[in-house]
Amino acid sequence: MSHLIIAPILLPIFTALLIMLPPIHYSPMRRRWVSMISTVILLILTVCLLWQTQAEGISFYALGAWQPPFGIILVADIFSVSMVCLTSVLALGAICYGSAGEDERGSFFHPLFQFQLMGINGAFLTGDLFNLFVFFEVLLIASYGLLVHAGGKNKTKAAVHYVVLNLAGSAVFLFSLGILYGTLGTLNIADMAVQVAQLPAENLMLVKSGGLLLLIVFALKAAILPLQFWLPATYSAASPPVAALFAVMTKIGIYALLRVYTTIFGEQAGPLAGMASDWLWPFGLATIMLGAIGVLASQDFRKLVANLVIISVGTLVTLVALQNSAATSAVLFYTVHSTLVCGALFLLADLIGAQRGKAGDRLVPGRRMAQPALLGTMFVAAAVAVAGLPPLSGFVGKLMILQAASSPLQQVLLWSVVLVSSLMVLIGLSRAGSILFWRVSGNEAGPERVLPLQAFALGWLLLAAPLMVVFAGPLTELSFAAAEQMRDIQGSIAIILGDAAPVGEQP
Amino acid sequence: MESLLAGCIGFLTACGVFLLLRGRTFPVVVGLTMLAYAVNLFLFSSGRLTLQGAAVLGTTETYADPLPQALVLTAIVIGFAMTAYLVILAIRARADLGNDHVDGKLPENESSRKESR
Amino acid sequence: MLLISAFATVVFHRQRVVALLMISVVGLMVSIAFTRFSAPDLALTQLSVEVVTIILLMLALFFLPHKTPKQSSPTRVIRDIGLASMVGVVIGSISYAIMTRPFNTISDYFLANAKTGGGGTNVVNVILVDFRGFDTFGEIAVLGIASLGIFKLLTRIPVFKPSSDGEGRPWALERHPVLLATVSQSLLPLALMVSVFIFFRGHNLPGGGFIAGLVTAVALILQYIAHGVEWVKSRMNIEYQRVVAVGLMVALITGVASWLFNKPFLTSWFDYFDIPLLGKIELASAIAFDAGVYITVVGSTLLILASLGKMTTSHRPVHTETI
Repeated sequence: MSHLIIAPILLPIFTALLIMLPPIHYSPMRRRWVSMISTVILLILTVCLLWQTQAEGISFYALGAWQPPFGIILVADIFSVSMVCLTSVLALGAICYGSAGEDERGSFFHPLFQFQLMGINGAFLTGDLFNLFVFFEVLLIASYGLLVHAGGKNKTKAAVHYVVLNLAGSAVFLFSLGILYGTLGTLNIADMAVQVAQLPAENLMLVKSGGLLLLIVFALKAAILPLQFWLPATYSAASPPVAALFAVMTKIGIYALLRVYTTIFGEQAGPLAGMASDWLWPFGLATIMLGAIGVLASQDFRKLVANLVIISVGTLVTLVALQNSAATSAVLFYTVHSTLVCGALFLLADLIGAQRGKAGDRLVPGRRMAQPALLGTMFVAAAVAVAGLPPLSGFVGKLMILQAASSPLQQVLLWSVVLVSSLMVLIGLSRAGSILFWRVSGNEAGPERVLPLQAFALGWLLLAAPLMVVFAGPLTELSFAAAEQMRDIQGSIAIILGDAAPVGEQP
Repeated sequence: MESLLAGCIGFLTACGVFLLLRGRTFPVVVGLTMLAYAVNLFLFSSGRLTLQGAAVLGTTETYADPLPQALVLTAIVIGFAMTAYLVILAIRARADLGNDHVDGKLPENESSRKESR
Repeated sequence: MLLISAFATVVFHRQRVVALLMISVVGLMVSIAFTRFSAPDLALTQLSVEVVTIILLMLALFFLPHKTPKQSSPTRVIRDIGLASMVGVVIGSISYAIMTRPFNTISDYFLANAKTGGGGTNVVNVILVDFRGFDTFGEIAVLGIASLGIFKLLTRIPVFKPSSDGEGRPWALERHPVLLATVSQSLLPLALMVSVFIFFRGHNLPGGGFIAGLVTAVALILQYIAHGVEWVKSRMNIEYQRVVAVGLMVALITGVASWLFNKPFLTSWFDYFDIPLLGKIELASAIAFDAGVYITVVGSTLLILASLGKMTTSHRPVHTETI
């Protein structure tokens, strides 16, 4: 019995508890080291898990030894494990940056950070819809705590909106869970897919309404167009390592969308198949455009980065709506790329802001930076990657996206929107860059310098951009395998449910 | 029986949503609590209604569906944790921002009314 | 009754204390509904959560204005009523539709296996600590994290001290009511015994770690209300965040322990022992897990309420000499 699958959930909570207990709790240095070392171990474990999953295919872990569909299971397929891997890479960068001093500006930074990792990993791995709700709540409550880290009016204000919205979202989630359980009689995602296929006609509308409510919930988490307004305020108010970690949070919404609407409402679902696509496609495209306009209109650099996150969300949603293997594999590749680069940009925004004195990261002329060469190089690298220019990872991602559209109409729409938005991002970033680096007033540089740990964190995240190009071959192969695996619903159902009799025939 | 409970759930939801749309933090908290009651009853009712059938083995012939009950228990606890956090956040927001409006600032007409006084 | 009180809450939502009373009536009605429809566990939990929530909201009202000024324009109110009733009608009809249809569920399996596989007759509790123990694990983690987050929010709060209530009446100057102090002190051992009782009967009859934890927490909170923070602190100086951590750790270790037997996380184990004098008793790993739940619940509830209460008392006019 291999316990590797559950390790990404248990290790963070164990670390969090360890940090809260006496021998470690009293010393800031111990807290930092325990937290960082644990994140490194987490990274190693998840890479092992990825390697194992790639070699052996889908596996599941039945908690309490209760077999599906009765117990809760964790499912490891290439897609979910890749997301967990991505989370731990991002977390290592964020935790290193946080350990450079940000963590001491409020209590419980490290425990909350680890709890959040637990929630994120759990949400990626779980194969049970109610358990998904529980892990959503774990990661949300931890994110509420982290959001107000280091205090301040902006944070409190952003937090009130964020918490109220997400509480309402949780209520909607429970409503849809009630509907789905009340009609399908099960909570296991794979089993739900089976039940949907055998659905009696009179329950069709009910299940559909449940599915649409679920769509609203995930759209809120992912920040898709009508529900995106909370994101810029929240992300730009959060303290930098927290914002960097938040870069993966919207992706959880996307992942849940993909999981639910390709598995439960997938091809086998008859009249309900692909019910989300009609909604996701236009809203996804509109989200991209809105994000691009936001990039041009942003008054400070963090807001700009937050709008970049919105663009990436829109792009991913559009891809989810396409529902084909090429699109699904592009989702994986682009998620990895955009999460890491956006995370790096949040950290960079903080470093730039710190060296510009009073001007901070607002896009106005400010003090000369102490290390313009270092920050400038990083800025250019991140900008090139995020705008999708060769030779960095964004370019490969863009190519995969553009190849994903199948019908001519989709091609025209997708190509034009993606390319126009890239152009707008490019303009926005060059404007921001030229103001931040060249429009300086006065020659005196401040005393702030980039600490080694901060530089390491930033470099670690940015390194992904060139590496993803160097290893583009294996990575695209991996993402194609993940996409094939995810779309092979019958295959995964066979593995998870095995020969278990359909629910109705149980004694 | 079913229709009565469904009516109650609907009404609670409506009240919750109405309070949720108010501008101040306290009604919003109360509204969310109300919505949580509605959600719990709804989730509970998805297991159908049974009278005299507590899911304790050996006590009755027919049992109520235990699974939604367990789910609702989890949901109640999580809802409590979330409400508690929101309440404290509301206090914090009042301390930081000086008022208890959800947006952190008083709406136009009211602040101008205050000034004119 | 439910409808009336819910409606009253809406009508009186500007008079906040009245609204609070009304919402507690709604909560009571909900728990009565649970009892009627054969869910005693739910009713108990709803009731105890209700008590804690109301205490919390009362404490919170100390810091928030007692009245909501009227500000929404009539058109907005009408629009909101329209929107709200639309949502209500949709949800109500969906729920009616669901309740009146037959369906198959996986629950029969739980009913069939609760005694043989989980070792308890209270199926709801067995689902919580065994079949879906992982959900409960996540749930107590949420509670623990929430208490940490609240502690974090309250640590650096700018001082402000309301010295009178909404209508300008000053808060009572008496420190602590004598009557309440005497009664609550003698109630404490009783309440603790009740909670132990609820805890142990949970596996077979309605009850369990969560409810027991809340009962204990409420009993201890009563001491805070009756005697004040300093009095309790001088007698029981524990950092509650550590209690939370210990509780979660107990649950985690119980889960991991099953790895030793080469079983997945949280696999339960139980057996019956014959002990002289006591007779046949059952020992189950689920009890250890439930103990983790209990400790976490006590720790986080106290952490939340005590840190809020500490603020309340230290800013009271009576104590202001230090400020």
